[in-house]
Amino acid sequence: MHFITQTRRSLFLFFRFLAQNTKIKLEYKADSIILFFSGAALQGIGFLFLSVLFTRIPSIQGWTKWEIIFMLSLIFFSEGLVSFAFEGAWQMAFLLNMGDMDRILLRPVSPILQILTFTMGIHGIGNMVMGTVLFILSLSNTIIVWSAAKILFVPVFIVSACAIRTAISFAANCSAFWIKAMSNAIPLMIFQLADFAKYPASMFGRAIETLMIFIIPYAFISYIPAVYLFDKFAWGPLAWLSPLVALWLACIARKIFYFGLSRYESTGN
Amino acid sequence: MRAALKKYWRHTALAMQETLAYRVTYIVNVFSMVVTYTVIFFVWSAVYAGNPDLDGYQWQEMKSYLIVSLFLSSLVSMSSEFRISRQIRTGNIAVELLRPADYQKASLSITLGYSISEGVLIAIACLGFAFITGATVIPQNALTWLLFIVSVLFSMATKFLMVYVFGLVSFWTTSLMGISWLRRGLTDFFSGALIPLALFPSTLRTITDWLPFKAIVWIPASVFTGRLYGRALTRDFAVAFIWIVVLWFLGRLVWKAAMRKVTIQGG
Amino acid sequence: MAIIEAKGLSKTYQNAVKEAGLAGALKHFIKPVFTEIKAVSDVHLSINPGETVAYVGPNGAGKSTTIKMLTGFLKPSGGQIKINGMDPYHQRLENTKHMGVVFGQRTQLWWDIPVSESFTLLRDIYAIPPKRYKENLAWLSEMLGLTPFMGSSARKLSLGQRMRADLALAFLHDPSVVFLDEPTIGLDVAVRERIREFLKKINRERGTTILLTSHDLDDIRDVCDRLVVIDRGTIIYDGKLQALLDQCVRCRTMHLRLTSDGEEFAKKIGKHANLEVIASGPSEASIEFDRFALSAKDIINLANTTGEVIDFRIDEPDIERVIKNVYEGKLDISGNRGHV
Repeated sequence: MHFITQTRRSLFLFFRFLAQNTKIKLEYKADSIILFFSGAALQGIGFLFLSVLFTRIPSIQGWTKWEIIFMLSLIFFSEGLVSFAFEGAWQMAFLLNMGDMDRILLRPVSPILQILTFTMGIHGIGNMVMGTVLFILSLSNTIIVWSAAKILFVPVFIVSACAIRTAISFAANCSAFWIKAMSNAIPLMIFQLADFAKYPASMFGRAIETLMIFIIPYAFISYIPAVYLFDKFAWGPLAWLSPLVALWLACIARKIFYFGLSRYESTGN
Repeated sequence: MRAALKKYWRHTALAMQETLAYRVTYIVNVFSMVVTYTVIFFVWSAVYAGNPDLDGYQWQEMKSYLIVSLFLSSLVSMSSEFRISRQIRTGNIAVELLRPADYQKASLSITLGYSISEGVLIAIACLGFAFITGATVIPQNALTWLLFIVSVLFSMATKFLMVYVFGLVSFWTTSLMGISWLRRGLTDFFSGALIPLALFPSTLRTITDWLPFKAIVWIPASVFTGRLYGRALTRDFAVAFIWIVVLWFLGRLVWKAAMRKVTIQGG
Repeated sequence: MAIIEAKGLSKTYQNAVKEAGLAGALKHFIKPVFTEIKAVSDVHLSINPGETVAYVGPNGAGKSTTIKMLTGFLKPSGGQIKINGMDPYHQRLENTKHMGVVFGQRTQLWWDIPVSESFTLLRDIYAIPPKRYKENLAWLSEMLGLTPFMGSSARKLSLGQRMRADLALAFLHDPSVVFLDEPTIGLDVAVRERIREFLKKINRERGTTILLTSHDLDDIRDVCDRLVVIDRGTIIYDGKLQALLDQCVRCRTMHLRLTSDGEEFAKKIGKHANLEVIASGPSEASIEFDRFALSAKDIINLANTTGEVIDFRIDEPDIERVIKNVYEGKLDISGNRGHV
């Protein structure tokens, strides 16, 4: 019972903070417009690249243009969502070193929630719009043998994808607990690795493939669902592991955070 | 004249030191560059596995093209862009303005500085990639090497001016990030860094032919692989040169507008 | 039942000892060496509901460390804390619901939004019932004069306005305990007065327990009835402020103007028990003495043995000196001796 009220309250506060932050950002109209379009535009370039490339060739390793764009759209959308709703994770180094963490710890709200919602990114909205457009376009341009399971799978893996992204980003940003300087180096580098997930992992050779699937599982965001939906390989249905992977990563991220936090609390900033 | 050069050289030297001091940002940039390159390399590798010849482009040539593209894209990096916006944000711009140096020229010197120190390391990295991937297509004679170096200078100048002009926009907005991404995206695509411009469909090809971005990657990389030479090269150099002049004056115009804004609004 | 109960509280920090240069960095990497710093050792504190306690000590004494442990965001190395029967560190989410904090240096306000919106955000964070929120807001606004700037964003407020808003926020959710860390620092006299009045009133009317750290002794004297002094990690005084003052009524300072050389006089007199020469010059001397042991007349008689006293005056007990003496260990508080 308590768990349900807690969750409801957390959700309420989450949307409250998100709405508040969005309101603040939207006041800077010019910036907001620029950010919205640049978010969409930068990803649009990725789409253009594939379009031009595929005017010359019919497929890459058996993957058609729209199948790859499908993967692209998922990376874009999940990235957009994290930038929009969970941008606060990127502020962790700042929070810790500027002493804002104390304020967070003095309030009766989960510190993770407070950190994630500390700020929001307008460019995330642009990313999500672009991601959604490409997602819909790719679904209508690809041949999928639909089944009840697959239809059910779509919302499941989209939610998992976003959760996986958030968990990885959050965990990476927890490096701020150990690295005293105010820099986002490690989370940025881990973020950069998502570029590999825009294409079939099998294209990259064993080492990178293993990295993408087992170590920093970006592959579960785009590649593995694509394999399942497009029936690329027999092991496709393993894609149903996505929600488990998401849960697993969320637990790890949470553990890392509290581990870092207890160290912070012991050494007294 | 010599005094002026000396003055701007100091900027360059300081910038070189600064880059090494900004080690962390530097590492992140390098990493980002490595990842981007690796992705592109594998994508093209997969493309060529299925299609050995693309409109005259073969895998060997493409490999060299990509490495030169990497080299040029990494030169004149974000450091310069953020430096301008950072100066504005922290108010250091006022100090800069009081110094007896032309801001645009000073910026160029500083960018040069960053580029030299970054460039050396990037060049080493590129040699490494060339070795690993077995890229063997290189200029065949001294003239081509010379033309390549000239085209690299054109590339740096063009890129600097683009970064500079876009960077000045931070006088009007607080989010340089968005502008920076836009510029980077546009540059990456239209400069031929991702796909050689020759492979673009005809309408796009015509458009990119007349844009300044071409000079940043396409021209130098194509000179390097021996694809661009003679008349076509001369023509491209001419267009690039005109663009540099145009951008230089555009830079001055925007600067003046920015100064007007500063004095009216008090920063 | 005490509302704040700390037993055997201690905090030890480990500081890395690093030698300079590359060799030092390598050494540290392979075999790190640490020194221990005992910031707080064996602190016992028991505060009852409704008390107003001043927590005082020189810089580096362990004051902020104790406060951080009491408020739950620093983990103690040893000992036990219970606030409202809960451990503030392990039961943080629950404990913070009943606790309020005011930091002198940092604000609770969100920077870019109107103050009123900071209030509504905190209302939602603390889940304050709407009716209660309205009542509290009205009452606090009136007491602290918040209405004129409720619509402004935090960045536009003066220090005094910001502090008043922070105070209101700390009490908004009806906490049973409020910690205040240097709440009047940097403020002008009028605002300080107002804040003190507010604290007294809210303590009277709502019985909120208040723990206050301040370097402003007027704050302490006006608002608090109990004084806890910490120095070098341990508590050296814990009792009624008035008792301390009374005890120090025993110490008086007398300033003498002499015909003879003050320094000579100091040498002659200095060895006498129950007094101390705190200053001397060519024809003057200042003496601190325990007036229960010596009377002013005794001092003058002593002085007359070496020369003539032209003039003298006696200072009233000064709380500043009192605290200073406590810090310096000069004031022995253990019992009824007010030895100077």
